[in-house]
Amino acid sequence: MTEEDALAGLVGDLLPGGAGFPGGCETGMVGVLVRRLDAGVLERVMFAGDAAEFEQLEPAAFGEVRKQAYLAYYEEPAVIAAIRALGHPYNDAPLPEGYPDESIDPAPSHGRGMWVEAS
Amino acid sequence: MPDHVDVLVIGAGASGVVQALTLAEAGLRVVCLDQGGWTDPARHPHHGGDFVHRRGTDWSPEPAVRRGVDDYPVEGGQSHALMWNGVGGSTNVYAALWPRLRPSDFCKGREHGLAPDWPISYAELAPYYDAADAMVGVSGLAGDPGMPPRGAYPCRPLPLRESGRAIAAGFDKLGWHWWPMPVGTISEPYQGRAACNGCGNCASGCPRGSMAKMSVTLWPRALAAGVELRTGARVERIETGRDGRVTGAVYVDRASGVRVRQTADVVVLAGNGVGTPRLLLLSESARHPHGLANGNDVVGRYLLHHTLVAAEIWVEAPIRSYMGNSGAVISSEFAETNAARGFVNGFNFNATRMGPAGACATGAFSGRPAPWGGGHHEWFARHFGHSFGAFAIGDDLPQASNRVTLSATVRDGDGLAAAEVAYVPHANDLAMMRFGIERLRELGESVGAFDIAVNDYMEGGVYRTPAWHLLGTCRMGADPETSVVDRWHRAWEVPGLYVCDGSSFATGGVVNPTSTVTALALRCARHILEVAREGRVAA
Repeated sequence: MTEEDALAGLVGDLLPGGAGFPGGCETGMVGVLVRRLDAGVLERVMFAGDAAEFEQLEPAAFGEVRKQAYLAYYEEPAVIAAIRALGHPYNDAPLPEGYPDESIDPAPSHGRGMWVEAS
Repeated sequence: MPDHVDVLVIGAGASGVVQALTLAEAGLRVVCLDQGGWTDPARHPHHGGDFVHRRGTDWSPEPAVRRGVDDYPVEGGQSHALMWNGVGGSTNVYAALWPRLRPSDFCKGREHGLAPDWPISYAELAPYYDAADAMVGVSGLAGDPGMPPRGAYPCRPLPLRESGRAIAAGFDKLGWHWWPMPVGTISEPYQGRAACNGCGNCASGCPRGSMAKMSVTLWPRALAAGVELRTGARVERIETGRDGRVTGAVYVDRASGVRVRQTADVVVLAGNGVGTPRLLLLSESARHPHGLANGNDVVGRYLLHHTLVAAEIWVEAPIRSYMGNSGAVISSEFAETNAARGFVNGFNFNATRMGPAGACATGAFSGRPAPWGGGHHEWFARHFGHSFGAFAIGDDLPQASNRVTLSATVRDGDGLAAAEVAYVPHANDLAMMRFGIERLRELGESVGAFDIAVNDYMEGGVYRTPAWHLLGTCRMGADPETSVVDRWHRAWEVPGLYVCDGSSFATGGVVNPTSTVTALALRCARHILEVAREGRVAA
């Protein structure tokens, strides 16, 4: 079994498809994960078993895999498309578009607040 | 050896550039040294889909994570120190929240005696706040009843958006103070810079220059004024003459490995709360066996980070909190001391917008990742874009044992001792944080939150602060026995040496510090100019 195979097994557990979102293994994220995880974590992944067992036996390594898996997943174009389908006008990168808003709000009228003069 | 100059500034961050620019525009010959280089705006994470990942790797605010070639090691496991070594300094990774200290912050000694008074008052600093705001480009709304009166901001406040209005409604329901957050980000075109477009990735600097990333905003102006900026120049010691007066500094030109001596009439040290004391301690000599300006053993002590607890609060309304500048609303409801609470000092709420999808899923703010497996997508659909963050950022008490020292074992790439940071919160700080957590929960209830995650920054039972703010380690004061510099930032023990940055703070207040850093820098530079114009030798 390769590191990629072992990671794919975990990703399948962590991020199955559903609710309009693709499964992690249906995207290109596993290859990204292999590049991003350090050798020590990858070594543990090779002996991980399923995600539940990995989480119980190797919580630190599991936490790192989960974090990097989530990050890689939400970079994927198919996942961003799923986010947009939820009604979010979500950009795939912060720039160049941004989320411009030139509205001007009325000033607060609550009148609350105090400060103490220097003694 | 390079030509002698009027002023040598060490550190090209927020303080260094304000001082270098001010002095050069007045006609002084200024050299500025920085151990790092320029950050190309095109290299910022904002342009790629992996921007959240990069926030935790090559663009991490923490040198221990980033391990960049320009960084020096910062040891110690209690602080995740935020800093960036390069042109613009930590403005490459900050959020540019721009509130000011309060008048009472300058007189905690008289208020309760557990912290010192500053040797200056808010009233003395206020004109410099105004001038620095105009220089930097600050957006906000005058008329805050929770702060002393001030003139109009250079730019109108950024829009509250759906997220800011939801937060404000929560404060209104509780009857607590709130106000639009002052930010060092421009809401409208200003001095040739483009207005913020609300991209939401403020925590990785701003390659557009809408936020005050000093390498994009003030440094071009400083260079045009004649400042000679030398990058890759790692200072290894500041030197003094036989008369005890500062003479300049020796640095390693990291490109060539050559050591260079730069002499100057005046040296301004602006390396912030870790770099500044580190360099003074590295500058030990027979005359200064405990480090420069450290005959009283105060250099590096009284490190302040601010107390910090936070909550991510999820509401039913789709407030699209991934949009817009990170700073939304500030509340100073609990900013002043009220002894009935069981502690002295106080805290502000910085209510912020939240991050993108990856940050939501990993619990980057809350410390609580999304569930994995079959329920993940339903959780995400319900939570993403529905939350805001609130930090309770408080005034920690200065303690001599919280300090920056030199590592006995770890060195940087040029063989200089690494910095070592020790920080443990005072019992007063812990009491304030517990109180803050209770108030955060109340805020969550007031907005009808369906979920709330409190982050107390405890790791394995130990408080490990994000340490975004590095303050107090060369504090100013009126007493040469208990401070490092006087009211004009002059080192008590070394004529001609000025120390002006976050390390100069006597207390930290309840706000992000860069507005005060720039105001102090402007005041310090104008003092140096005044002395120079009078033909006096800078004291």
